[in-house]
Amino acid sequence: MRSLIRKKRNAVSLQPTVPMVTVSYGVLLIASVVSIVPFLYILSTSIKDTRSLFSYPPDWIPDQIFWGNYAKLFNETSFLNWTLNTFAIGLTITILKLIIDAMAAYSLAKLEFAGKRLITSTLLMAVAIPVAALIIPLFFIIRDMGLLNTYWALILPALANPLGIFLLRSFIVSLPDDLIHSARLDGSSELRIFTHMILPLISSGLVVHAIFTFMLQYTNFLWPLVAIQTESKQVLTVGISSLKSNFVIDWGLISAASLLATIPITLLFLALQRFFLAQSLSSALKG
Amino acid sequence: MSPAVFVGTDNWEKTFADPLVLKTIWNTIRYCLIAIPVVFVVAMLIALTLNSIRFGQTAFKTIIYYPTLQPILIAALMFTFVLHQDFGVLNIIMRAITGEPVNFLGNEVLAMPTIAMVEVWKGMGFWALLFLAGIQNLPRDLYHAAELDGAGPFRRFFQLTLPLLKPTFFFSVIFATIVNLQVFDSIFILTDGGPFHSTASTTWYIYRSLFTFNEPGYGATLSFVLVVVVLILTALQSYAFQDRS
Repeated sequence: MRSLIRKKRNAVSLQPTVPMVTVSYGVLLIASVVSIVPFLYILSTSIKDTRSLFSYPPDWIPDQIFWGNYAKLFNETSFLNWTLNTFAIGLTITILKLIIDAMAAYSLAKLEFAGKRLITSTLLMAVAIPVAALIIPLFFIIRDMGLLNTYWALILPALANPLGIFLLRSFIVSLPDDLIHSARLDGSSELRIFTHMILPLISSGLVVHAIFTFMLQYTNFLWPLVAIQTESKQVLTVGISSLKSNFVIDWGLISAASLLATIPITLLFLALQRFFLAQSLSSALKG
Repeated sequence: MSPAVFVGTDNWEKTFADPLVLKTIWNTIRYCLIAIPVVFVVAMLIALTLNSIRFGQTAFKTIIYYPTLQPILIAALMFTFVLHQDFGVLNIIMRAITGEPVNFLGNEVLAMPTIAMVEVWKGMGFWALLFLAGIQNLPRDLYHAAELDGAGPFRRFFQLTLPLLKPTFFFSVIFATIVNLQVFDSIFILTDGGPFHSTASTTWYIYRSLFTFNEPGYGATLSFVLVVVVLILTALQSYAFQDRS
């Protein structure tokens, strides 16, 4: 009897105890509140008149929804332009990068050519160079090309980032060589093998790459701040930050803009939630 | 722009004779030394608690991971609504407790730790999920054996979980250092390097050297130092990973 009880206890032994579970829920509840309250607070701020923002004790949930901040955002600032710019530039970069990186990844993974090792190690070095350190040289290169203050200044440097090549290469390397050989024997051209065989097989890799590229562009701040001077040509992040440099800061306007800027990422997150939670981690771990 | 002239080590000497440059390097290190340990401890705590619950795990994961996705810039702007002396959430709480609001960003001592909190808020979900994945990949047999030997949860954590997660931590520390050495967005929004340059980071200096100080040579020198530091960290990382496999 004793041994049976022991056995049973062993079988469930790693179940956390009741106080531990209670403490865990407490900690997680606090962490969730901390995570979510700033979002709720800017939502609350964005739907009230900025003057009432300074009343104390604060009016957490306004009695009447005030749409003035949103109206002002669309009518008196270039918010709509910034949003469209961000999407146009982000999608252009994403599409071009998918094409370039997939081709580069295929050739580095499965083709033999002179200088392949040298190219691979050079690209690997380039991955390691921090963006912050590129700002000054990039500024002078883009300026000498006469591209400052154009969308090309944002698109071209992003295309040169080689990280995606290695991501896609890791997907292609694991495909069996025999598959490609037999297609070649059947007389398929290299381009046909690439478009009809490789691309469909690495579609999940392409999706990961597309999401990360777009997110990276969406959250990008320092380089657009340096490269673009005209206010209406700006991307969303820099545009919103410029609202804070006005002489009298309109907090209602800033909260409305910030809240709207979180929406596209939120939608993407909700649509691909499982994918985000699982995939981003495994790819981050692979480095 | 005048034609380029080779100035030898002139730029290097001038750059490192500039007290502001030295201050930005120290500030950046200080920022990393605050942000990374704090975010790791908080994330570890969240990972352990996530690991010990069954119901609602996905919901908590989703909520806590959510801030990670937002642009740092938006996170920093949200923090102005947390920290503002008149209407910041934290200061409304402070006023209720102590009667006095705290000027978190206008204070030379508090400003940098406060900016590090943006990284903690935004990063805790990312690191928590990464650590959770690490914990869940650990061999369960060891834990059963440890429990049979009478090791309690704290002992199991300090003598099993932490040592076993060493490779994960090593990767994480280097990755976090590379990212945080480049801190800029939150500083630009919250303090713009102030007060008295107490939050001026290396990247902030690089940016200012281009536009405000009009001394891109200094910024370029500093950029080069940043590249070398990051390359060394990356080499360390890949060396350790090769070692393992």
